[in-house]
Amino acid sequence: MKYLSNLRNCTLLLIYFYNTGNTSIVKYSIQAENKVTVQNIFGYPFKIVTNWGKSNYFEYINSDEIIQLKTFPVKSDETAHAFIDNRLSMFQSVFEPKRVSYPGQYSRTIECPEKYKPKYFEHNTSKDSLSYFLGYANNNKVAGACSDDLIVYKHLYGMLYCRSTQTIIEIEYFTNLTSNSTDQFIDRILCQTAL
Amino acid sequence: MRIKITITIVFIALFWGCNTTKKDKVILDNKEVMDLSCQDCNVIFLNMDLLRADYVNLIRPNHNITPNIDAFFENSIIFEDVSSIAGVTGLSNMATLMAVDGAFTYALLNETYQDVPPKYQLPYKYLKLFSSHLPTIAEVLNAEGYETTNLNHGWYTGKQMLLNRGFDRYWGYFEVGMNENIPAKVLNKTKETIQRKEKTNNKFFLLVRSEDLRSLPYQYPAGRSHINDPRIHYKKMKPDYYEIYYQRTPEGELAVKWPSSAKINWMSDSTIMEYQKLSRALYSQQLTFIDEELGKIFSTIQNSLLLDKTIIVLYANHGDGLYDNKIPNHGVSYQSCVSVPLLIRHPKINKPLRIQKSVNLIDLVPTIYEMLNVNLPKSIDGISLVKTIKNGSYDRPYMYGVDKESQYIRVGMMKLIVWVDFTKELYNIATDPHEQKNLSSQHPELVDSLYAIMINHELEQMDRALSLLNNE
Repeated sequence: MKYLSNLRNCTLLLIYFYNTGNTSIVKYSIQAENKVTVQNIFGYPFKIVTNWGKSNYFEYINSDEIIQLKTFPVKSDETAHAFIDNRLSMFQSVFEPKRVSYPGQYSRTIECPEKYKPKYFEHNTSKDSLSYFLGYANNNKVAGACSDDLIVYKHLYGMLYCRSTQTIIEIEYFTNLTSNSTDQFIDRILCQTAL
Repeated sequence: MRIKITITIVFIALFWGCNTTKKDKVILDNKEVMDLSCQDCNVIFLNMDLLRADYVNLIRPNHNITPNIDAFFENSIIFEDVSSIAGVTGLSNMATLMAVDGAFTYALLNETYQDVPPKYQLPYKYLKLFSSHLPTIAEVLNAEGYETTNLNHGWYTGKQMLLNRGFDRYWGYFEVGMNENIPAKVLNKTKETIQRKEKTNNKFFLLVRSEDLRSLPYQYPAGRSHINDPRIHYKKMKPDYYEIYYQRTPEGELAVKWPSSAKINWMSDSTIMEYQKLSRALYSQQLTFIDEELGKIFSTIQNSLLLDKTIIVLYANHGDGLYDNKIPNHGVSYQSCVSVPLLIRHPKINKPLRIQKSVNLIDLVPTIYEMLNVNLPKSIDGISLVKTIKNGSYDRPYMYGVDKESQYIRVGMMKLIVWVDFTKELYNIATDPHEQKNLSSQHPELVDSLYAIMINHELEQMDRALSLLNNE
């Protein structure tokens, strides 16, 4: 039961089970804490979507942008960097002909045209780090769309690590293909205006 | 006002209820089952590669091609829903034999494993650290006075993963040359070893791993009947066996080059169905062979005096896609790859005990420890299943698994798979055991909740792994 200790102060999650013969149907709903809570992050009025244990989920939507944030606390800088490096290298490897991480006899080979491959960027300071990919997503907001007929959004996937709060913020940003707002959003991603 | 309530218990309990109501066939209040202690009993682990739970007739009566396994384990503890922590051998075996968490194992390997040809292995410099902090069952039982033997035809269950630890005798890959150490020889060696053990009174732990069910290309005895199909290429490697390939089509030489875990989205549904049929036929052919070979081992055991003092376990480290979910081979989080058989033949059990509770393969080793009355090492995350066998209780709130392509988390019968490209798939295993209907868009909040548990778990275990390595 040691895992349970990490999941305190959660919003009420109601799960109903209906057993109908051999079929189990799961229905659930999230009962938010009071009313919808808005929090200013990176200069955007984010809505708290869920507050699940140690993690918060935030969402901001306007006519041109969808921004989703997820926060995960960590115990050490080393763990944070190892997690982010692993996460991003795995993501990148989807678009590369060779994989580099364990276990290695096999490699996944997927051909994505160069122009659609997500491009990697890093902004590091002595305290904080932002690593992200800029690429494209499909209609279902799945990253890594690699052909004209599938591409619907410009997409950013990133990880911001704020050392002062020892928090990883997973960032997903979707915007229309004609939009020029991505650079402005990136400029706003700062730990000082985070959480 | 914030509602402060630890709802996780509700969450887990309700899912648990879903998992156990109506279906549980655990035999309760059975006095014969109340005592599973087996002090100083011998232990034999038959670790199969690629054996899917749904191909063992005793577990799920779909394919009647395992008569010897079915007969030998008929009056045994039969776990019907066991998840391995990975769809690949190295990860799964490390976690299973050390009884540690999947995310922890993955993090350890991610930091230590040498993935540069020809070095696919864990460096020996970690041997002492692992032995002192993460003992395998062989090390624990060896310290308890057991003679320990490893007959191993698998790279990822052997010294390449530092899993030769604790064995008095280690007969593995490369020890006798890879062309000679073929599965049939491992099985022959097993028979000889069992016959030899019978003549001594020393308690022993024997770990056998055969790669007979190796995915394509695989080796098959030349003298045996086999499928005749123009798409199958039988290449005679030595007088006594063929190496079998198939799928040599204009679409690519899949059998030779195709990776273990990539989805074959580019194939048409009809082509996939065609290959699935062929792939399953070949798999069944191979499983029929391994079942016959295992039958010889079972006969050897039954003809010995060991049966009354030996716990015999058959399990698989992972399954195989066989084109389910468009996965030709394995190495991902789908049930085809992580749902594995676990059968325990125990001297005190003389009737079938079918356990439908969903359990984790890392619970196997602690279960054996409790049966043998051996103290559990501090490092382990596995939970003894003795209580589960007796009364159906099980204290694991969720199960976690990880491969390089994907991770999964399972709470009761709900399972979330997250791929490295961040695609998320949610399945209700109770109603959709083959994971055909992705529920993620219908239940985004549940996806988010499970994702949060998954990532926080991963971070915790990564922290634990790094702390261990930093204290090296």
